[in-house]
Amino acid sequence: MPNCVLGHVDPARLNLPPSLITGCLGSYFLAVPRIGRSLRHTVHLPLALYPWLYQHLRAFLIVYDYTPLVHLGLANSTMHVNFAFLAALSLSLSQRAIGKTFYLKDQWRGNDFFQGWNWETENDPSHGRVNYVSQGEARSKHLAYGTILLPSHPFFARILSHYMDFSGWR
Amino acid sequence: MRADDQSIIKPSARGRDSVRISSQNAYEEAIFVLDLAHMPTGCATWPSFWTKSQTGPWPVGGEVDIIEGTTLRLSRLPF
Repeated sequence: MPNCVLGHVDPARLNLPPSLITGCLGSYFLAVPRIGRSLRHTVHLPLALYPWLYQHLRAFLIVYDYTPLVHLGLANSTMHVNFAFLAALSLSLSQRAIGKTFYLKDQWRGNDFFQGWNWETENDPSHGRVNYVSQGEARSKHLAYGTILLPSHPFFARILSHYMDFSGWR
Repeated sequence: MRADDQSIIKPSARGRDSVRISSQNAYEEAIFVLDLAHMPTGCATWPSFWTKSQTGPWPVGGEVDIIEGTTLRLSRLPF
């Protein structure tokens, strides 16, 4: 039974290229995923912690499909996981990711955004009262547009020329 | 991408104009960098960013919500 483990990582400790961090305009998220299940129903932190988390932890490392959790009895099919174990395991799992090297496979920038994605127009499966529009309609109504960033922008240049180096992670 | 935040929606309409996209490529193990300049908050908003498996809908294949914030419920962030 697959399951997932969530961890949060300070980007400064990930030894990511500085321009990758400073080049981002806003929040970003890191994920190291495999096929798994969401823990959204079982992982809750006190709401009072959120301002602190947003300020100090701008990136979140997500590792899931960690079947051994189930074998160890730390998780079951209803996805109840002890958060103390989760915190400890997220550290070790983050270190598992340290040895991995990631290369850029796909990116969408500027008007690339309008290719490579399916624009879904069906009714909201979650029964939201929303009218999902096609790409053409979204563009004509100015609901979607590409922001052009030059390839020389530090954000893209560093991603293209560097793999993610986690060696400085402590 | 954004949702229409100007129009007054008729009760008979399907709903407010918005956008929902999914990648055509799939990835087994990867780092995703989602660079957001702004994410809406407030009543009736539902900005989301999630992955789902190709083997089937939840719970057959699994789904991982990375961002899911409805209205003011910050607790929907999965950490």
